[in-house]
Amino acid sequence: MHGRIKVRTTEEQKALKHKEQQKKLTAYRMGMQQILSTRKEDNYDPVSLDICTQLLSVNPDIYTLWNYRKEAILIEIEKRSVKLLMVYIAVRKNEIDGEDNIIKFLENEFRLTEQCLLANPKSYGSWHHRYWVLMNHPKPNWENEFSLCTKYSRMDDRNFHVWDFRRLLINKIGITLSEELQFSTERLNANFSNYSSWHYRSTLRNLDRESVGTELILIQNAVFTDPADSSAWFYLRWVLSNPTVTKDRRQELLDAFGQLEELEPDCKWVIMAKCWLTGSLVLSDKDYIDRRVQFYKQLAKLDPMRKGQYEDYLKAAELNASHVEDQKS
Amino acid sequence: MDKHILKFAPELHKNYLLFILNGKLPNMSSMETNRSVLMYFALAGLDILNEIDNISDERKKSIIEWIYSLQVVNEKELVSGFQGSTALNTKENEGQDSPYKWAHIANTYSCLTSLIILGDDLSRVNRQAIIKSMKTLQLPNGSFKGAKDGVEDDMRFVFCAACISHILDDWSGMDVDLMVDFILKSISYDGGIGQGPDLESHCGSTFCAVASLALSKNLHKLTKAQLHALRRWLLSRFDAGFNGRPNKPIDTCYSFWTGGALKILGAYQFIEDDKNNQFVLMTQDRYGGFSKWINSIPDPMHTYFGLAGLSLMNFEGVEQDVLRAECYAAST
Repeated sequence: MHGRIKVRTTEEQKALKHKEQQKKLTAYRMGMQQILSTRKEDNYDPVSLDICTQLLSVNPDIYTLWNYRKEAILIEIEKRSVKLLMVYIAVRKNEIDGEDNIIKFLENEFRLTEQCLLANPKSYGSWHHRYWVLMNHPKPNWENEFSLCTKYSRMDDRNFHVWDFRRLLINKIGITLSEELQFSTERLNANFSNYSSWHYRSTLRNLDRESVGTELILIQNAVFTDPADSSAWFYLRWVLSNPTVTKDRRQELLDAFGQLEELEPDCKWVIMAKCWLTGSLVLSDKDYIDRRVQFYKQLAKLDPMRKGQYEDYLKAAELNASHVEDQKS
Repeated sequence: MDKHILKFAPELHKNYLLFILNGKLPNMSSMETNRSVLMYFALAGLDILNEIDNISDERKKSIIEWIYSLQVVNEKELVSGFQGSTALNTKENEGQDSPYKWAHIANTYSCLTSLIILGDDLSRVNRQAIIKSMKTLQLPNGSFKGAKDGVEDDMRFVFCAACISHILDDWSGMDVDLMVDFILKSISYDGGIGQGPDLESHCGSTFCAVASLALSKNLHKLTKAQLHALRRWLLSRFDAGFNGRPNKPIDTCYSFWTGGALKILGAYQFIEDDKNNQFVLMTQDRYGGFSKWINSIPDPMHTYFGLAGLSLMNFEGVEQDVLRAECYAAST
């Protein structure tokens, strides 16, 4: 539905399309009826399941159809375990056979969800169903899912469904923090403007003094590479809120950004960063307050779309400045 | 640039929305089970254009009847509320409880708001049943799932729950403190709010979160620092139009999501919004409706949110401050 570009169609093409749609509509209506009428508590109709597959391939957003599949899967699993229990008493080896059958059965689900996701990589129903199947699978192949994640993130590195899925997977696989950090660093070095990458990184760990140092290096690389991109700057703001950031560190950054400002005098982010860095300094120091006033005036010029915000901050800063004056006199 | 395209054309939008309302849904079959949401977009859009009274009483009545036909009251399974369409209602299960004949929270929201827009007094709504069932949709972490089973949970449904509670003036269907806790935990490192904890900030979920706080009168739970960070992140979405996430293209519907969130927080006036209405108007279709981007096909959602976005800008020809209808602008 979203963002489709306009294409002209002739009357003939329109008529043909209408005919196709009518066919689809009939098939859909009959399919839904078939599925709903054959639904039973302890059994499912394989024909209905097939129709369900076809309908979902066309429209993966009818979550009722995914639910129908989940029911069928649970019935299958239940059937196998009952069978297993009886056969186990007789012959042990069938345990493995039974499991293989379920695995084969669930392959359909992986195939279907992957097909649906190729058509619509943002379908909540498809991702949800895939994860549910994995959770009910006797031998889930989490590593395989990881490759799927990588494939989809290459198609669209801002697709949050993929990132969220990855997050669920790493808990199951037992990937180490340092491995994920390395992955994150690689992704960022490949593309500093991938905001989703920065977000992912922010959720990996709580920062301590040492890791703050690492992050600041990464950030500086990013902002010197592309100072106009907001991603690394927002990340910087977050890192700066960490209590282990020392005054010396702040001064170092101020110096570095001073250099950056000479290279990029029109970059609002540099000025904003200087605001952030001087913000926590003792407010009674008039020199720093005056500097902030200058920063806000600069920002209002460099970033007119948000002029109102800077003027608001300016008012507060000037008020502070006058308080300091009053206190001194 | 052709000046004609940049002129607001309310007549065309009215026609487009009536077209949608009358069930002509080109290429939207995938939305079948959410038909009530499309209806809501059409009605809410017409409402902003002050065109609801131009719908005949007879027509209004027939729509209201259709909406009530979607109501489910099932105390046994606790799935009461409204369905999105009659897609799962067959001759066999007519008038009785049936598997999958469930309410979905987004449809309950759309149906209730549509009834109100049409002037219905909600007297046929089984409020108690809805509230009782809604309670079962809240998760231990405070989030809401959309329906009884097999559905995801996230901030969108938290918003639906808050709206339903507000409309029915009954907050016993949720643990409000738990909801607030979920929202606060969903604040991301950059100050924006994601669909849930650890998830990427997004203007859709941010609006839903902020609106839910406002509706439940919990905006004050945001600390000053959180408020500033949120403001900063939201204001950064503005680039002639609004985008929904950093480095994504600007999109008409975010004029509402992002703009609306800023309005609630009392920070909308900080943007220079002349360009915003121009962007929205550029996505106006020559036959009516708005689309996501320039030169794309219009759809009901972007049409409604385009109009809603314009209403936030005190744009002439459009009902002001649509947030009155959506939720309170409790900016203090």
